[in-house]
Amino acid sequence: MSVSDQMMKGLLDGAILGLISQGETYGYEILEKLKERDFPEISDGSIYPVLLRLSKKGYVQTELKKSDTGGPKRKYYTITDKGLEELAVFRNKWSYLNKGMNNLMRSVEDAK
Amino acid sequence: MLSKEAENFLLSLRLELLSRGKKEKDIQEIAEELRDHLIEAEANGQSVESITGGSVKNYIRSISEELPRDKGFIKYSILLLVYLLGVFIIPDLISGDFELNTSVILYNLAVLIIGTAATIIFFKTIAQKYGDSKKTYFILMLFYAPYMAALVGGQFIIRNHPGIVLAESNFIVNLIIGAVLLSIFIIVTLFMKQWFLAIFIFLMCLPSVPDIMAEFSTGSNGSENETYLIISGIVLIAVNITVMGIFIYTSKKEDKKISN
Repeated sequence: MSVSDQMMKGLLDGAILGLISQGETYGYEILEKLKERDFPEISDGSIYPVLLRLSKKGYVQTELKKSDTGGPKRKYYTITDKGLEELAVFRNKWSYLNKGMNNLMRSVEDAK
Repeated sequence: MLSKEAENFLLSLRLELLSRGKKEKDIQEIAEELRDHLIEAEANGQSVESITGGSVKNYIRSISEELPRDKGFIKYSILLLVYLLGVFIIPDLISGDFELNTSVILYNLAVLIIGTAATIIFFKTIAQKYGDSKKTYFILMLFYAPYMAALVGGQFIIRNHPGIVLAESNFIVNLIIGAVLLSIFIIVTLFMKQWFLAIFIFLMCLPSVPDIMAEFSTGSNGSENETYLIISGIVLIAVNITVMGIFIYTSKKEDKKISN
């Protein structure tokens, strides 16, 4: 896995946790919201391993509800207290990282 | 209604996760979630590729990495191998034909390890390629006919080329060991509520009954003996009726449980 792929993987976890914190949602809707917000380089299926991971770590909880499309029961995600704590840590680290990376990349551009 | 391609993808996912020893409940959940996603995606004109990103194999692996392994998987795999070994050996023991020699050991090891692995790989590959279709069943039948023939052929070969004999065949000793093992297998499988496995191993031993009857009633192994033919015929019919009775009774009980 390339450096940029690994970076995207980590950020996708935080992005999805952030979306779920805004209210109960499900897989396809999460994907549409990510696309609406121009989250880059995402293949549709890549959210499911992330959702499984967030669930396993106890950051989100799930509930099966009847779907309005007449298909199988739909799995809805909501954030847990543990997930909120993790999100706060993520946001904090992200703002530092964002600032630091911008500074660093600016100096890389200067080097050119 | 999903496209055939999507159904095939979901089937591949189930098979792959099952063979990797993931919990059935987890597999069910992720398959249902992806089905829900695919219904919506296909309604919006997207294909399975939008989910898998092109490689079904890699995608299934990424899902598999996030699912915990079923702790009972190894235990059940070992139990199943022991059961299969019983299915191969107990009927021979009961009929008095069993002889422990190097060919028997090699044959059983080959069937259990190579045969089981080949079956799993073959089944997975075919199901992934053709999905739940007539073609899959047809190809599986084509595979099983020569496989069964090879199993029977192998039996003939090891009987004619026993290699080094480790324990001589002795009718009474074989019968006692066989009967004790069969009882243990049936009790354990029934205890684990695996009615089908109990009945199956019992049925596999049925063809040995005429041999035992012949040995006891006439003291000889004469297939032409009239008394032996009548006795074994009656025993076979009686046993068959009993097995069918048990089978119908248990399946009705299961149905009742489901409808409740």
